[in-house]
Amino acid sequence: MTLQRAGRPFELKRVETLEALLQALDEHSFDVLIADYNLAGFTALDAWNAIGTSQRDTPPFVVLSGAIGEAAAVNAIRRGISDYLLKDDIAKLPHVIARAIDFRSAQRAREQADRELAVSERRLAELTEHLQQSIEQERAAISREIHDDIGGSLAAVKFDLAWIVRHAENEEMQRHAQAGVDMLRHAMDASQRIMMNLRPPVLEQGIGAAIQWLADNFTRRTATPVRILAPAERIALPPTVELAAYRTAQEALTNIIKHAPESTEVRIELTDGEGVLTLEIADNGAGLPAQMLDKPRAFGLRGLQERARTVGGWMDVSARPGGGTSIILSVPLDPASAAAATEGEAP
Amino acid sequence: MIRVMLCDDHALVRRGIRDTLADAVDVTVTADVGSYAELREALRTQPCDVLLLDLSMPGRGGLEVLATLKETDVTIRVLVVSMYPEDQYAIRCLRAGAFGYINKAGDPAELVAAVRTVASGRKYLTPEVAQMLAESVAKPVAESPHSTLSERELQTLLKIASGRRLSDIAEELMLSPKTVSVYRSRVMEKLGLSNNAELTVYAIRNGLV
Repeated sequence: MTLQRAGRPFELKRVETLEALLQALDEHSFDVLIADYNLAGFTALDAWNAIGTSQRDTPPFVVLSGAIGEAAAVNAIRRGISDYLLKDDIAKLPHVIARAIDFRSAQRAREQADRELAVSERRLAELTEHLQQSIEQERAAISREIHDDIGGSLAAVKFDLAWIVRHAENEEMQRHAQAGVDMLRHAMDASQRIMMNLRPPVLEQGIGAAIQWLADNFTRRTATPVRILAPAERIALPPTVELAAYRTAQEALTNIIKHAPESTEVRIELTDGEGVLTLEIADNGAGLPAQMLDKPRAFGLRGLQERARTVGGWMDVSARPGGGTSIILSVPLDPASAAAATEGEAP
Repeated sequence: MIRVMLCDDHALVRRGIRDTLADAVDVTVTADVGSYAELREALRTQPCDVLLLDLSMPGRGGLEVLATLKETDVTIRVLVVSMYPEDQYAIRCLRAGAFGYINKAGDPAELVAAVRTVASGRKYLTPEVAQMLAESVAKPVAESPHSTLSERELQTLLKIASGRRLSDIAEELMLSPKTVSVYRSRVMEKLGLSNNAELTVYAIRNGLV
């Protein structure tokens, strides 16, 4: 009656039980649901919960009540129903319905936007992972090519030139050949260095050996000792995880040289206990100032965090002014520990 | 006469090495092959005292080849000739049974000296490799027995024992709760305990808190 007076065209469908309600929702699409608070054998809230748990897209839900207490009303709104109306105020129904419909459509738009955002974030993560892998494969391939084609050829030429140096009868020829040998040696050193940076051959010996090697180089450059704690046996890792760990250690040590040169000791811990790889690189320098943590880009940490994510792990950067900085990469190595890690507060 | 075999997938490198060794009157090259498969064949038919081996050929697994040779042909002395710098590979090759390691970027004259050295049953070490070997002996191999707690694990144990919740610990240590929960499960695994209450009792009994 009220709706007719409001002059809006409408269709009404009336249901009496929960089953009928859910069935009606499946068969038609409604603009709004109106329910009396106390229904035969169940309340409007039961109906709302039933709809909520059934994963349907819900129209706005307005509770109409003879005498709904303040507490019940607040509780209902908190549960997500759109609005409530006392039967005495029935005249306001058209207005309430319009408001509920508007609100619900705004809410739907927001949900849709959230879904689209989640999809695009997932796509971005997939793309990042794909790029990361492509880059590493590409690097390995280039390194391989340098090794097989350029490296081999340079070595061969060097043997020939060295032969000429040994067998040349005139001094000038010998001198030129020797200059050629020296230049070639320089070129070979350069290609070794380039191969190294593309994909360190030491990785073939496992992450432990690679990190030991990084640490040795670090100590050679800075004279700062590195204490490594790692299991004696070789840790077997998927290649992508191995590379992520290697790059993390590399970047962390580079950061120490750049941002915490006052460190007198660096500690690296590597373990794969309980199905999770943990790699921690800690210095005892001045510690990152807090505002620097918000600018991860400046520390190349952003890339490392992305990288950790692509292999299903995460990265912690914990720093205290004066207390050194510590970078921790964690990567679950099997589905069980991955699930356990996402549980958070375990009992 | 020292009988040498060459194994390298680069034909021109093999020829270069051949020519270099040809200058030494006490060295003869009995075979040169381009793959591990050919190498096995050649070793069956040709005599060999010293094998010059490139470790990074297609098919990989150069170190395994080294290990296999060590078991099957005890008398063969392997000299690894590689494009890779000493600091990444040499020590490992020596551990795997090689008698020496030469970087291809080095002086070809080294080859002859190396072949003679290993043929006489001694290891051939370039100054760089000798230096690294000395360092690796002096430096204890880094390891943490699984039974003892790492610094972080101990930190986590103490905080749990003093009644902190996971989220508080995470905040205090500036770590994510996930990371703390990994440490917690390692502590429980290492100490053979199954919940926070047991952890607390353990810490108190052992005078940690």
